[in-house]
Amino acid sequence: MSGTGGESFAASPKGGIHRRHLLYYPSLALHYLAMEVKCRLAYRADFWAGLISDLFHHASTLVVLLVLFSHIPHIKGWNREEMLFIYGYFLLPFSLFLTTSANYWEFSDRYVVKGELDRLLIRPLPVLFQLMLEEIELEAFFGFPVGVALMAYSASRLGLAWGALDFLALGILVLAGTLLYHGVFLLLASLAFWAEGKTGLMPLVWNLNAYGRYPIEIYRGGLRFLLTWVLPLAFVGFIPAASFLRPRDWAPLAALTLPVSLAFFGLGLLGWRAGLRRYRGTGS
Amino acid sequence: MSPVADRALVWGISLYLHLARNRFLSLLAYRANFWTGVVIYLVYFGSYYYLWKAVFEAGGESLGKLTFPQMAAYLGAGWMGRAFWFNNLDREIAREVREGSLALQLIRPYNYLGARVVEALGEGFFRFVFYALPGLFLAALLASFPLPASPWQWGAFLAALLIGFLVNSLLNCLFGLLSFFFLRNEGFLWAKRVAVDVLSGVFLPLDLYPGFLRPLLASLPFSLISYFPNRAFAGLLSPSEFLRETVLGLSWMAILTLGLALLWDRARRRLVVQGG
Amino acid sequence: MPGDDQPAIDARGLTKEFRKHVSRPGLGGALLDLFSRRYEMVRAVDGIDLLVQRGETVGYVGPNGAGKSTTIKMLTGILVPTSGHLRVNGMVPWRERARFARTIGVVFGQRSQLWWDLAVQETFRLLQKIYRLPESVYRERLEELTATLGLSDLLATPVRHLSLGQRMRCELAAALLHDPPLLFLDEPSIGLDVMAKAQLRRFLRRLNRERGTTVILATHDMGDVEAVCQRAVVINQGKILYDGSVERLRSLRAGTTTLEEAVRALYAAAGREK
Repeated sequence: MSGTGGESFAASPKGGIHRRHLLYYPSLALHYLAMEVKCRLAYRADFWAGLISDLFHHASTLVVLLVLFSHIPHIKGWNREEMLFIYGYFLLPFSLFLTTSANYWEFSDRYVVKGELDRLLIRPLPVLFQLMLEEIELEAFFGFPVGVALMAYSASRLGLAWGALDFLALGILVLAGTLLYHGVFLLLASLAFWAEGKTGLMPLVWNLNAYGRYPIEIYRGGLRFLLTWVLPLAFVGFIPAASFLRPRDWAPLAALTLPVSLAFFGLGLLGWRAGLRRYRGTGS
Repeated sequence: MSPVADRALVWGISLYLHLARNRFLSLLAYRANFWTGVVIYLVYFGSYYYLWKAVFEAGGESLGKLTFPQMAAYLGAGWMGRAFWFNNLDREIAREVREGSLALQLIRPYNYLGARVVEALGEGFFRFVFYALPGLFLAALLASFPLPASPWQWGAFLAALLIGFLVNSLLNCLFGLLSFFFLRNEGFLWAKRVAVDVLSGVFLPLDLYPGFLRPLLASLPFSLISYFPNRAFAGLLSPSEFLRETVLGLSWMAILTLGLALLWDRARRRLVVQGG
Repeated sequence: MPGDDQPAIDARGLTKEFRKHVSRPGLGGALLDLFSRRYEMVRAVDGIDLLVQRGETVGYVGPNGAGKSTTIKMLTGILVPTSGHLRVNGMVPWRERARFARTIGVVFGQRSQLWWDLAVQETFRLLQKIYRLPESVYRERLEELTATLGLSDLLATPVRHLSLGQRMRCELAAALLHDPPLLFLDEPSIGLDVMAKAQLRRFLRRLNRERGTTVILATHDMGDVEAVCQRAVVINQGKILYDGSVERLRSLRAGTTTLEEAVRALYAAAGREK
């Protein structure tokens, strides 16, 4: 038998028998997720260790907050319950982001320098899609229920009343926040294509995520502008959260969360594509 | 000492110096990392400075015996000091264990852990000279907090910083080696990092913790990493307190070194059994 | 879908240039490098012509740094050539990457494409989904490959527990699961023991004979070439030194009787011409 190399291939010219159907990418994503779960279960002890450390991390942030508030009644007019609410809200997009972003940290070392990116390039799937799905951090997701619990607790203490519209807004804002974080870190990860090694920017931006949790009123002028518009970490946590606590003051600004997120995600995608072009054009 | 031992010592010292120098050079090679590093520490400082400013506005003249300028000095030393004592030894050792390259390192005729600590020293020195010192002076200027007044105070700060570095590095080595016994322990490492950041006083001076916790916190090794040098910098330590902290530091270093030696021994034995 | 008469690989004047930075020596140089860098242009692949028909077995030979891997990366769509004409399976690899990727299989000797922590068959399942293989087709292929490569004991084993030889067999299966007409191998036999190497070579021969799969084998192990390939292409410093039958290569230079000697003589001659 010569030539075509097999029945299956001959039978599917241009993807004939199995045309791309709507569920191709989502079902593939679920499959990656299932594999990741199996991976985690293969190391059960480490899974629990990761989970406990995660909760420990949240606990320590709460400890810092509580210790601070044992000395002062409020920060720039925000009291303890409001700060807890803001932190709880912040955990929602943050944990969603952490769950899906593990590969950003590895990207420079593993994929660019070690060249594992090549492995992704010979597969018939978009490279970014594979990158995001290859490493899912399930343990990080447990920040989500913690955040919900904090919000519920502080909301009840503050006497907030929520309707269906509020929940809808919550959903949209949380997803927008996750997208925003992804856009920023995608852009930072793409720098690996130019930098030949670590840039040190990711740990920086990472440590700055504390900004998203505190009232931006504490920052002056240039820094405040930076954190709101240039590196809009404030839009991930503080601003949307504040719009639930003091709608009159903050809702107008919070309405910009979605456009800003989309803009930054778009920017991230552009950076990624430019970087990938560079990688393939000049090699490394 | 006999001439042979003398020469061995000289070779040893020059080898370790060379290792530190190599690490220093390799950091210079990463251009992007260098330039961003300069900005990074100032930004870290800025974020916490403003937070604490807002806190003091609500809390009054002083909080836990600290005035705001002293708090600013404490913060400055905290972040700039972090540039020096912070390293990724725990992650690096864990990675070498995981990838199996630890076994390779054992065939080299020097002390593996000693070499790693010395390399970290080179790295810390690099970051201190290029990021921390300029950052410190800049921050003092912008935030107008007082720099150490006398050469003695500078000396105390640098000595405390060195102790903090060694305690942190020993802890990192310990935790890195623990990964020998647990397969994938990034979780533990992250938890340890959080513990270090919270308990060492980088974010929060330990003075502010509730009274009943303070004796415990003060005796843990973590307090020596940041709380000790920060206070030395801000002039908050009396000579007797400085002496007491130094003794505590040296004791913890001895304990950690012993623990490390024991762990290393068990790890090496395990290595041989597994076949490398 | 490429017609039977179209060549598997059609490359003309294929070139790839890189910009490599040259670091200055010493501490002073390192500091200077922080501000401005010196670069030099390197031609990894220098205007090569390569025409491979379907069903051929080609050994792509060259020392490290000769441009072997770079060529393979261009042929598989990873890198974009600096200049030249390139068609593989009738498509421009880098331009239609995703569509093109369905028509090739690649085995990287140094890098694994199997999921490290899970059983081998988990990777195969994922590949089935990625390449959209219908269940019946997938089962059939898997059975076939399991039989020919002797994988029945390995399917349920986590990849990290496999020996190098076992892993290589699984890598082959992973690359061939979707039955591509063209298979690339980049240094597949590095680190394999004699038996594993023999198994690999036997398998490749059989693959080409029974399914007509075009095999491009990049290697510097002449034993591989001798056992598997009918044609040899020798590359050094980006240029092709020889392109013809393995038979003829053996006795190309006066006094050479083995492939090793012949190839070394080629390198030496090329070196002298510089």
